[in-house]
Amino acid sequence: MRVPGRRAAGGGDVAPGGEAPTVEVVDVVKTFPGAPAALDHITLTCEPGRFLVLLGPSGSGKTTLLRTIAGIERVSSGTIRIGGTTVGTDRLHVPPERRELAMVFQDYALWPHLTAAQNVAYALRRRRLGPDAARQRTEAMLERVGLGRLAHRYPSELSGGEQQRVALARALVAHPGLLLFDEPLSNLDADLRERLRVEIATLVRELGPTVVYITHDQSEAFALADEVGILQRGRLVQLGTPETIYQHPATAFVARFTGLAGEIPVHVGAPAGDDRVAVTVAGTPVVARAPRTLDLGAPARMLVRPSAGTLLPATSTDVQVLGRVRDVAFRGRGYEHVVELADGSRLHGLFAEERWGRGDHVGVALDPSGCLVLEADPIGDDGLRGQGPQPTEEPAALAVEEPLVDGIG
Amino acid sequence: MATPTRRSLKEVRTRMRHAFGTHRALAALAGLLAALAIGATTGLAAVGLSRPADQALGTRSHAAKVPLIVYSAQGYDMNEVHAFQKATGIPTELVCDSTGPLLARIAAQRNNPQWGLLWVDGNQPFAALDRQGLMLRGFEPAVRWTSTALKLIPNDKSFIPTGITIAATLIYNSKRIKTPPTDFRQLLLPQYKGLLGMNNPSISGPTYPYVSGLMAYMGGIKQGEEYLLRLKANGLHIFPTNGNTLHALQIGQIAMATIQSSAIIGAVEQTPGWKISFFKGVTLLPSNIGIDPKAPPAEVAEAKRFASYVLSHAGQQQMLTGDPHGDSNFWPLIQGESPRPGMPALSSVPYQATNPYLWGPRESSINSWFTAHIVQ
Amino acid sequence: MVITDRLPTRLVGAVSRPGRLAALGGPALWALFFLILLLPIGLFLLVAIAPAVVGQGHAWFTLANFAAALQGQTLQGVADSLVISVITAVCSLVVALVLAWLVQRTTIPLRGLWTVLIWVVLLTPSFLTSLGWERLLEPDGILVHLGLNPAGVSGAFFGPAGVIFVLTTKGVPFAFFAISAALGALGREFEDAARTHGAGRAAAMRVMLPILAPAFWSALAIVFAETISDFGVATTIAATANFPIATQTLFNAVDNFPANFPVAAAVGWLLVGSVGLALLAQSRALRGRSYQVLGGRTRPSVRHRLGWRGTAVALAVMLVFFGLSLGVPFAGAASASLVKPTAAVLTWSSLTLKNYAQVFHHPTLLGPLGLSAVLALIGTTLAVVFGVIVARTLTKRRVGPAARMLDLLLLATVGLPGIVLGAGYIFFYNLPWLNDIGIRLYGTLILLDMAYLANTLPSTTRLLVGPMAQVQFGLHDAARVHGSGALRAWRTTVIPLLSRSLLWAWLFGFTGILFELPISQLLYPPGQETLSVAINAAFANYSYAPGTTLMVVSVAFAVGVVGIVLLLFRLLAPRGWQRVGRAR
Repeated sequence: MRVPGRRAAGGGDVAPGGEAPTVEVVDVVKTFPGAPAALDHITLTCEPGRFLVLLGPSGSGKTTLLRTIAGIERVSSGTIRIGGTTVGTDRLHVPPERRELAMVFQDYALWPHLTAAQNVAYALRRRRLGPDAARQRTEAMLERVGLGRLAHRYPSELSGGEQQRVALARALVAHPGLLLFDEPLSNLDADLRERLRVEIATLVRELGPTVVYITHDQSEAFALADEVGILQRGRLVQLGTPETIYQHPATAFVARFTGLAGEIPVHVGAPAGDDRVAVTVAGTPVVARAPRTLDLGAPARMLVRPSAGTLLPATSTDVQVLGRVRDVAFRGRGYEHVVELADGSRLHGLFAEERWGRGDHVGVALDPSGCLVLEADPIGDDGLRGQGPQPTEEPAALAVEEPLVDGIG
Repeated sequence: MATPTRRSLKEVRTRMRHAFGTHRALAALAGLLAALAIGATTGLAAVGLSRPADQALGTRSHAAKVPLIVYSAQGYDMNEVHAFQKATGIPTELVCDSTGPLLARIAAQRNNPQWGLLWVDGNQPFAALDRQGLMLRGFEPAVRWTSTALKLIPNDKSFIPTGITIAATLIYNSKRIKTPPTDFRQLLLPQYKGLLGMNNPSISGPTYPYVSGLMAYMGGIKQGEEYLLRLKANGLHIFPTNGNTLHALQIGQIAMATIQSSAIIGAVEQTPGWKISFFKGVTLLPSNIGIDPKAPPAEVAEAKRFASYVLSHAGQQQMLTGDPHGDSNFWPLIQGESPRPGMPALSSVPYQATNPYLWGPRESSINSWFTAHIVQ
Repeated sequence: MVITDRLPTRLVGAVSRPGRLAALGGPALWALFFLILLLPIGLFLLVAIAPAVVGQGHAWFTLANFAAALQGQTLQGVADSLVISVITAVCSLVVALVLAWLVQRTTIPLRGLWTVLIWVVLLTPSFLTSLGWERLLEPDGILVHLGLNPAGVSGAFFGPAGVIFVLTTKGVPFAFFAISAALGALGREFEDAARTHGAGRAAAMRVMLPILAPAFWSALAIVFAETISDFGVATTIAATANFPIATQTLFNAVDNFPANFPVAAAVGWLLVGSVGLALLAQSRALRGRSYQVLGGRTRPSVRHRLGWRGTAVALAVMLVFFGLSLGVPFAGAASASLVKPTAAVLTWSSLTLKNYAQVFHHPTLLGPLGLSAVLALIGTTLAVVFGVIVARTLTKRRVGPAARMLDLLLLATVGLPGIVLGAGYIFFYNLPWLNDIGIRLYGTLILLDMAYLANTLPSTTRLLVGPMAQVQFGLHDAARVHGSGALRAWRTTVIPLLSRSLLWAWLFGFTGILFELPISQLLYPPGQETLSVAINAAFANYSYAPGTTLMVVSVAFAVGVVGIVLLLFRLLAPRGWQRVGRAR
């Protein structure tokens, strides 16, 4: 019997495996001695067969959340349900091996004393297949990830990418209903990362399990996810489709973490219909989106997505704001510019097909849908000013919390 | 060379793997170890636990034969215990060790003694244990003592002498020493400079009776200390134990030494050129038996039988033959028993006896002085 | 729905079992520590201030024993021990650093062999090392007979220098295992980063040292504790040289008549205090950093390529170290055992195999060997099992106060000589009220083996902490996630990764128990002589040649056991097990 809502599986050959379950996290708190709560009342649901990506910086609790779902960590309070069955509360703890799931680890976690084939076969034991069937399935899986030739190598004899493919094969071979990924690509080179991401996407969608995937890379998240959850300091600040998150970030933090060109100080003007508001940027009126009502004349900040800014000659009539090019970088398809506005604030990553020289005076047109106005003293972003605007960078100040998401009990 | 070995090893491994399958072989090994461990533990439990249980039973019923626990440092103790057990059927178990650890055990068990009978050299420890109420008083086996023996039995009959050795006398290498010294004072002569060795009384058991006897012979602690300081000035070597001292003599580091007579006689018999000389004023070192007064009555009765057996003709023969190169070289204290052939007559030895109740309590302070002034 | 009606049936049995085990694990472990370590040692130490507790005096509170311990010989002994242990710890670290660097970071040939030999050094009892050197260097010793004059060397050897020398050879393996993991894992990039920023080789070292500091401190602490509690050298070279050190004075306080347990306990306090000071120094120096400053993301190190000259020097260093630490003592002890009883001089004609024949025809000599072997088998197996559990507890990322307590406790017990345990066991397990409630363990082999376990566990744990810290525990988590229960996950992932270290730790425990003397002397049950007691008794009764021969036979037996165990591992362990942990 199939669970309703399950994504179509690869076909009849996908034999004994787990059904894709719903994953429910209800009001989960996880604390470690002598540290602020690693998970602070998190609630979310991932429907069967959906691909959920949890995105957040280091120390946001994403690894801890994944590990509590896996059963490697116990919850301090709250409930975790898999397929409608409670597997974790403060009192009850179903061990990982009973949760019918598989996981791909950031550092691969391949057993160094086992060959690639043995590593993969290990995860198949729970299916209790005969030795021949198990071998066939192992070989097929390794073949599928392109490692058929290397089945008898030990992990230390494989490259990083090959190792992660083995880990992927190991996670997939038993066709688990629930698949967990712990930043699987973060230790790989850029182009390898891109190729493996595509492989993960294809393979996983062939088999159709429910997936919880964590990363700190927003492009990876947007590329893979059916749904994205943004974590900040142990709290889930927004959950939605990639499109929703990008277009309607709930807080400045979410907006920053999903990519900004920059932030410009503005003064609030009159409402301009829908959720729009007029603001003045360096004396010039501009229309932007305002999710919350703002006081007229109050100082505010406008968060600008890179895609919202268009470079124009300074003389063009469409120009809304004037500035000077401070830096330019060739990006193949065109150029990315850093533009300093009259008030000294900067916009990064403004794309144009033609090159503007350093020091050139330019104009910028702003698309209101990519500009978000928030209070100058923000309520919604927990005062997280120390958070760098570059989401892919791991802020050093938060790295000290790294041990929080590691180790087990 | 290496390659064939490695190949054959690999072959063996492969063959074994084929024969058992690796995992089955490992499991078999683990199983074997586990079985061994369990078997051994069970065995230990049976051996180890049975005795105290019997003993517990013994405290209640006097008739039962409880095992007699003998603490002994004598070289012939094993033979004696076997013979006793054979002759009487009394189960006897031996803790055989040096005197120091045995006395330490007894001291550590002070509030709950677990021993039955103590058999070591020297009467000072027995006197001290007696003062602490840890010796059974008033028992004396019905034997025909020699006159020497009668002088060694304490008034309260708290311990029983079983034989005599000399705490220390001279052993020398006659190849290097043509005219040996004839008494303690001659050891100070310049021709013997750097040639003499002895044991450290802090480490070697029978050496304190020797040192205290020497002090008594010299006229008191002060005179004794002066003598020892002059001996040190004449190049005295200090070694930890008999073994080290005899070894130093063997390799020629020293040419003569003062150590226990039973050790000397055994060594002299085996080594050409080594000789023994008895000085005037050498000190008697009797071996004694004492009984634990707090032991179960049945065990006390057995201990008394053991003491009587040791002093019987059969028991004396065990003592005289059990350790021919060591402790068997003693003078018996029973009329009609003679020492091993080759031993000089006791009457030819100009010995003295010291009062254990006087010199025993001085052991710590004299040993400390010795370590501080003579050893270093 | 399939999922909901399948999972619950599993939950019923599954939920509670591991949970209950885990919940019990901690308290059970602590109960064990209380019974085998804390209570006996605590009672022994208590005797220093309240001798009346176990009838060792009338005072219920006194400081007189400390006054007695802090003067004269005893004070001298403690002071000597402190100085010797500090110097030995530093020397061991320096030597171990050279060896570990050669093995871990250079292309020196035969790297596997050198690692194995380090373990063999660890297994060699220190009394044997001392004995070998004594026979070699003494006046009219083997060197003299070979026509060499070692007078200058032997003068220095029979004194503090010799004591430090032998203890250093004993300390090097501990330091080696404490630092080699860190040294091997230290990514090349730290050095590269320092050097690209203009630092010379020496300056680069200054950058590297703080990174390695936790490993260094842990090496110093363990060598310090092992040295200050050493008994083998104390009773041989130090005693021959009339050089008092604390273990000897503590032993004398107990061994002389009347036995003075309260003063011995006071010396015990001083030893524990010394180890405490060492630990304080360690934690001060590290200010809370743990062993695990090295992340898992550093790149594997690159080996320094040695030219032929460098290789020759490196091999010479190895040959000198192992020649001095293994070759000499074994040759010396073996030649001593072949000497005819009390033969005046050693000549080739005086070598005799009769001594060996005698051992095999003497059941009283072989019996103790069998008994000790069985006790060692059980004791060391348990020690390794508990050692693994404790090592895991100590290497967790988040160590709680309980684990830190455990760490302190274990190191403090490493710093106490075995005789303290022996006496403590008598005090505690011979308490009359324990007998009254039916616990009669004193005088049984079970208690003796418990004491062996207690004596072996701290060192075994220390040896396993390094390798355990290297095991990325994600590998265990991965096994759990992919369907293995807790036990199977350990059996199939953690244990194989540790197998080589476990094997050696087991052998270390085995040989240690086989030759253990002070505890055996105080605790061996009537009629059940252990090996060391038998050897000791043979010497005490002037049977030198049989004694030495029995010793050599026992050493040969130990070597045989080591060889067989290693061979079985080679033959039976899967290939993957043998790959990990081997010096590559």
